[in-house]
Amino acid sequence: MARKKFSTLTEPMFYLLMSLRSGKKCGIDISDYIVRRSSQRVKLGPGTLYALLSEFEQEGLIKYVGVEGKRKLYELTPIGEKAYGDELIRLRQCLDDAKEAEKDE
Amino acid sequence: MSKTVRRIRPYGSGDIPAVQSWLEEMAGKGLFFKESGMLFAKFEKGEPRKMRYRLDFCDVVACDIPDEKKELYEQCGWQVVGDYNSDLVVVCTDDPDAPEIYTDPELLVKPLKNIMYKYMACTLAFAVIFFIAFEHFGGTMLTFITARYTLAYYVFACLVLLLLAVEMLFNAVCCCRLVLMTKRLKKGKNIPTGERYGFRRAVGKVLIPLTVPVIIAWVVFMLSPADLIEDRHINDPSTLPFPTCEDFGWSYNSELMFAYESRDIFGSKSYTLGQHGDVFFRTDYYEGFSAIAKRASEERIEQLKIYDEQGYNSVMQGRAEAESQGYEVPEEIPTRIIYEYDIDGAHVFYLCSDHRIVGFHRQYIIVRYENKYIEVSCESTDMYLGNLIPQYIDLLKSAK
Repeated sequence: MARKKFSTLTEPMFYLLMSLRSGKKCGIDISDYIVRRSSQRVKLGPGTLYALLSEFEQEGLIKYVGVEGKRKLYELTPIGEKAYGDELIRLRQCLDDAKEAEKDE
Repeated sequence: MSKTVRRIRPYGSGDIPAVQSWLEEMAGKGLFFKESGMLFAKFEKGEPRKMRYRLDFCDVVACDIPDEKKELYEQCGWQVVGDYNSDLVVVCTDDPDAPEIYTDPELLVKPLKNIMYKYMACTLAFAVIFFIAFEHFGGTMLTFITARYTLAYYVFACLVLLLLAVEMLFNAVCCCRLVLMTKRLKKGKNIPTGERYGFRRAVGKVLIPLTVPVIIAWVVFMLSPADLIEDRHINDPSTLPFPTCEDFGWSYNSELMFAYESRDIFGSKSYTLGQHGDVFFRTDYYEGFSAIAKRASEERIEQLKIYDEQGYNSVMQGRAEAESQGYEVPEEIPTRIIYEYDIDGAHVFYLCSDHRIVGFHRQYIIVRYENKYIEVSCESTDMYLGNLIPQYIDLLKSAK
């Protein structure tokens, strides 16, 4: 069965939604946040970032709320919050399962 | 000395890995990409250095990307340079640590498919105009035994068809390449970088500049007359390789006679003779290729059968309508005699349309033997032309 779009998130997608949880941001601020938060482990190419913003906006996970100079500002929607929350639960479940597996070994 | 140089653009916008590799190679030679039109790419001269070039085709509108995205590129160490053939935007960096502009290959699938659809449309367009041109040339060549072309027309037609076929193939290959790249991206693999595409460059340098001239040549070809005749008028019908009406005892008005001969570059020849006088007597003769003689004669036979059927039905319908309205109609009804057979390797067809009650009576003989065929038609005589069939068979067999 095909994976429903955004039913599981890639790492860049997850961090992008995470960056918007603390308030509306523009693309550059999102990129800075992700690099900082992930200790430079996750790097989002500028093309990928813009493609993701476009896809998330189309799917209703984020919404455009205005401009700051030439920069477009985005904020998280309730659908985006839910997607982030679901992914967080899934990741925690993965982590718990991994810990259980380690104990069994 | 000029600081800019132009080079023929050797790759289409769909060949992204090749374009990126080419621009990097040029930078290594001290030529830095500025912009590109349909035919040429402009480069600025400078000191050779190692650069990375990438093509952006997401969020590209009117050969431009959003200002905020440009700012983000610059923040990541990339510089927006210019557009490539109005489809893509070129960005470059000399910073080896600058992150790739696309770190998630799957996101490229959808915009790449848009470029693929464009190449599909181009392939389809070339296929359509190729088949229109082929029908325009081929349909005429095989249908009429009297279709005659000059050498220049043959060469021009063949060249146009060949170039159209090559352009169609070129666009189809670009399309297939994009399909494969899309599959590659869906598997999570990135667009390849650093490879060389020498053969593709050589092909593109020839075919891309030819695109517009080929289309113009096609337009000229379609507008040119389909039968550029190279005829030689014949004044003395006795020089023709078949009998004239005089040989059968009819006289004719020399001022109303027409006769010509034509030959093509493959050695085929055809003759036409029309004589008016006691009767209207016409002969068409072809000698050349067996396939053409066969097809032309078969098509002509079918055509005559249809015309005769239509004529007969029309007359009968007229009679029925006249009768239904109370008019007196002649007792005679139109008659037809038609037969077709093979004998001693020759194919024979005879048709007599006797619609004298409406003033029409015409006989046709068509004889085909190997690579020759002759059609004789005669109007307004009661002489049975079927008696002449053996004479025409012998004529075709003995003609060298």
